[in-house]
Amino acid sequence: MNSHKAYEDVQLIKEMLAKSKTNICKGGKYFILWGYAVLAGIIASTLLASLGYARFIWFAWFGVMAVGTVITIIFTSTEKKHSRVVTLLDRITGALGMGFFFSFLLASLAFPLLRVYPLEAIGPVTGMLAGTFIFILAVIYRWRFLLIPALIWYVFAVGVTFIPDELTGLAMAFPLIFGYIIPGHLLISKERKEKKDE
Amino acid sequence: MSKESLHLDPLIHAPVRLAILSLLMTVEEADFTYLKDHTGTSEGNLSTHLTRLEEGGLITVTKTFYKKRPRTLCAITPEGRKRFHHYLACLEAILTPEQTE
Repeated sequence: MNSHKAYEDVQLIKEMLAKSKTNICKGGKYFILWGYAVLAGIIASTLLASLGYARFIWFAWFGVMAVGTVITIIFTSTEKKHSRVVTLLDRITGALGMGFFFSFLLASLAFPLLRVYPLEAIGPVTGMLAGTFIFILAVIYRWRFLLIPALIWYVFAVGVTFIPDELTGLAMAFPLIFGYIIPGHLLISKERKEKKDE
Repeated sequence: MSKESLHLDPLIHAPVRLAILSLLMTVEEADFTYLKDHTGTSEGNLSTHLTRLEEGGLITVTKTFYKKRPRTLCAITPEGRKRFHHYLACLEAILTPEQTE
């Protein structure tokens, strides 16, 4: 084989790699789904606290996370069935999201079973988990913008400790909107743009 | 790499098969349409090359149904990865001959 043919082979490989090298973010819809799940959790917590059933708040979070997990599993398996290509990035993102929210699910089950109801822990725990999740997504997607919502959640995780308990739910709306809902919609528009460019 | 081992795998050497393997190296799995679109080859030609690669143990081909429509999913095997890497090493050696001396 001469070097010219070898060069042609290398060019062909490069061309194929370039074609498949798309940083498609399929996580946008799941991102938003979990944003709304957290919103439902906040509303349920606020309602339960105002009705004097604060000890059931962790159960409400368990319910929200369980429903969110089931919906994500159904969505993911349906998407995989009709998706033309499955990348390693898709699997990493899916596993990461499931891992984080499964941890929250277990925590929300374990605390009431231990008969401890650390309601004040909900804010920092949510902030830390969401912040870490979004920070890792920012690195995986190579999208620096996501570092801002991650930072918002981290700041919230600490800042919420200075807020009176009755305002925690309300305070959580800020990182939820700016750290979840808006980035989620931006992620979806990025995904659509990349698909169009492909 | 010695000159004796500079033998390019004939199963990979064909441009379409090389293109298929290059694509499959970067993804977990891809369906027939994706491979057809990205390699720019015809269905019949692609099908023939996929069969050759499957018979050679370089890829797995799974036929499923989605909404009553047939779907062919392809993925590279560990053996396929190993042989693709060897192929790349051979190409590199050909392009940089001083290293083979």
